[in-house]
Amino acid sequence: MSNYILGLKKERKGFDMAQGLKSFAGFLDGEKSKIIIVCVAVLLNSISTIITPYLISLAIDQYISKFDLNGLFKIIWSLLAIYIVTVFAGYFQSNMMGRLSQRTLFRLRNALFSKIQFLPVAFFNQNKAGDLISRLNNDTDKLNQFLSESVIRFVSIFFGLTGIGVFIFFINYKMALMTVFSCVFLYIITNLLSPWLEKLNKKSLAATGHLSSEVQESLTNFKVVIAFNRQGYFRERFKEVNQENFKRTFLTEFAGGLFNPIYNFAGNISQLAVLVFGLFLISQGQLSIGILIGFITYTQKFYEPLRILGSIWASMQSALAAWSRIQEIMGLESNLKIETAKTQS
Amino acid sequence: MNEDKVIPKKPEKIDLIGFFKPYTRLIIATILAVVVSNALNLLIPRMIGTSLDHFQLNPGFNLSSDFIFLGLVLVGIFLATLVQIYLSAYTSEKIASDYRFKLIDKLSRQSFGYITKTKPSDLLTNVTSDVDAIKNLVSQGLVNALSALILLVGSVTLLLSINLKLGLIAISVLPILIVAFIFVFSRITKYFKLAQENLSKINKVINESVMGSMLIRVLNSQSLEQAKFEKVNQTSKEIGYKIIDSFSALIPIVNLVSNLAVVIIIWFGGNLVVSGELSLGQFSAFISYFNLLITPIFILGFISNLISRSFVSLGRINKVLNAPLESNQTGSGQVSQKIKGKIEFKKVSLEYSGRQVLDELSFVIEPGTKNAILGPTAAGKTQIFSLLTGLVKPSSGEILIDDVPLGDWNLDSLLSQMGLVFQDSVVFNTSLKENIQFKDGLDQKAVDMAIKTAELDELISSLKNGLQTQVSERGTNLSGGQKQRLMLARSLVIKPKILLLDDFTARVDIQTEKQILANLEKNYPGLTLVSITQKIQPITAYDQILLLMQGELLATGKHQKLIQDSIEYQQIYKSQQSTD
Repeated sequence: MSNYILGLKKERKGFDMAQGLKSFAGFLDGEKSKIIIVCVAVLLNSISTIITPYLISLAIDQYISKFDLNGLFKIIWSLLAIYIVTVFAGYFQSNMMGRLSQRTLFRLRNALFSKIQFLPVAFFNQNKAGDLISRLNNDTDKLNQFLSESVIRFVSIFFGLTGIGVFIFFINYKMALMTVFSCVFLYIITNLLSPWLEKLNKKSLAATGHLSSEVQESLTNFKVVIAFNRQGYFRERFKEVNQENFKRTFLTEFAGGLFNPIYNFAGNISQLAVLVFGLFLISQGQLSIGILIGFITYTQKFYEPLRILGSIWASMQSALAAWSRIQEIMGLESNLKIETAKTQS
Repeated sequence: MNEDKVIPKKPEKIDLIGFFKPYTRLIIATILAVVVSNALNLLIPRMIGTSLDHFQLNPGFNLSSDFIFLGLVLVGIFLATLVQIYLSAYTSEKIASDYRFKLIDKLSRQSFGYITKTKPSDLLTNVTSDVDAIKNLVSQGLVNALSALILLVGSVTLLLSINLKLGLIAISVLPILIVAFIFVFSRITKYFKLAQENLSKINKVINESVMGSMLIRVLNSQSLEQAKFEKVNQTSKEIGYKIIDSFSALIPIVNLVSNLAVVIIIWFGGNLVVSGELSLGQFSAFISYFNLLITPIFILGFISNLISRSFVSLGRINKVLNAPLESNQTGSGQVSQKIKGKIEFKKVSLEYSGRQVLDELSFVIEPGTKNAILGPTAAGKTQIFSLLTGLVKPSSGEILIDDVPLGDWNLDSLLSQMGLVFQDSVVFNTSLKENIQFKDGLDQKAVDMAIKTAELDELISSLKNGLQTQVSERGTNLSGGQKQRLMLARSLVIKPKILLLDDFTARVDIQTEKQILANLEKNYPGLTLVSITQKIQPITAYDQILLLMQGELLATGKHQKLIQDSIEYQQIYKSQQSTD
């Protein structure tokens, strides 16, 4: 008999994000031109984010601290010009990307459902109905949340970060180093935490599937539960799976939440470092106060998206775990298909 | 015409306070942590601004107390946020797991009728997604709404306190933004509701396709299912588009308004710095606080939607928790003694959705006898079982066990002395042993005897893992007869005084059945046997046969008597002989 049992696959070691994304990219076929337009919009948007603090620095150094209001007026006009160009970029960015993710989800769900339709009965016999339903509902929903909410932010954060990262090195490389130094720690911590978080996510999704199938089984067979006086047993068993689910989901939730304070702390520490080092440089005559204020804004703008990235990271981990559970189904070979293929050839 | 149908249902009143009361302490602790971490966060721009001003007043670099203080605040924020995420994760998951258990506890005490009426698949949604919505209400709703509020109120206050004039200019954008948000979110909320409704439709199609997988394949109706699914999936995509369109319309408005505000702030702020009304440090802090102003509005918009969604779930959960326990199976009676096995029906009638299923049935079954209920399909035979086990209540008449009315019995005690083998074999996805031995604390001897009696010992010893073999859900790795015998063994482990078999003969061959009957007589002396069947041949030696047709009792007696007295019995007997 063919093996259709899900959840047997051994845990892959370490980080399989790249592989997960790669297999997912298949569902983006035919969206290339739209993705490019979105990227251009995001790029325009990012440019405004990147240039604004610098213009404010200039305003402070060149005009405000020199009491030159006419000069300040020039800066105001250039700011206005930038804003008007980018206002519509923001619209395109979120609208096209949002629609794109809806289409992707649509294709994904259809593919999954039709896959299930053509799997043999053995598949349904070897897996718990509750767990399957959980995979189809809960896991696609997790993926949906990620696609519809996080992907847009993900892309814009990517452009914003690289933009700011490059730009600030041109303004003042010493200050730029101060700005980005805690990234190294973030990188290390993220890499350390991610495999752990991924494992937690998988286990927590499995516990949820288990819970769902326990309830499903007992409620659909409620006649037997009553007639055999099995209510107590049902409660006891549910208590166990519920407790297990509580432990798993609590730990996963907590671990996922850890990124937020860590990223926030890193950003704040960088801000402090920028402030102290900036003041030191000013006292040495190597920096102006306007550039320091600009760098304080840059540090905020650099770490705020990173912090969001941190929280998206957790949702991305759980989306990836969901995706790998879905992939398990997508990867099954139906012996029905093989047979028809053979008879045809 | 149908006016009573048009009257809108009053929305369920939701006792929010009562719902979260047991968690007051945890929730308050979470709120405190949120307040502390956000309040500290608000201090940062101000402290940076102050240290800039101090530096300008007193140029020359020294590691002043400003920095140390700032560093301490940063550590404070980190710790408070750690505590906050721990508490919010713990509180929300605790509430979720408690309410899941409350639901299951309640459901497990409900009657069979209630569960069938409310549908297991809907109840599953209550236990999973509805509880998740409540969880999100705490872990995301409470925490984020509170954070957003603190940031909003805090930064408005700080903006005004830095410089009243500039502050008023800055917050003048708030009404514009808020109106835009309310406009867009009221539209989005409508779509979110639609999306939610459509999601349950999607789930329904999925559930049906999984639960009915066998039938779908037999009927070869996969493409029909696929079309059904694509339709709801398409709707989901369209609703998603609408949400995105309304939402992305908001973005240029917010960008334009807030960017214009930044330009105005720089212009007026710059003027104020030039005129000496504002220091540079204050100016930079001001811009930072203004940047903090926009995000909380976004967050509050999302939260309002999350809250309205979780209220729907809360209402559904409350409905299940507050549903009255249906009395027929609570075992309210007090009598709990050992039974002898006498069963008596006195003029028992049963109506089921307006149809007369059983009509004034009266009969007596003596303890220790073998009885059969014979009749064609839809004669109401199975309903007699449902009545006897308290799954269903009679519309009129009385059922007595050992001359005590069924209602006076403690149902738990009664059922623990009755063995039941249902027509549809229900197998659980655990080991064979657990399928047979539902309860702990049953001695191994009882299990062995039950297995032997049900003629399962050969099968079990042939299996590699013996009793520990896993049975798949719906028992598809066992044959129909094996499943039936498994059901029999399950009902025998409790050493019942009454054994009810529903159509046991249908899937077990005559040889095995004879053997099993002999085993029963040997191993369980004094057992009262009631067997529902359509075949006469296996029951010719029984003590009493009840002939049931369309809910009416036509004749009672032994085979020899019925074959002479009852025309209907003769007809059935003849028709079966010719087919055999």
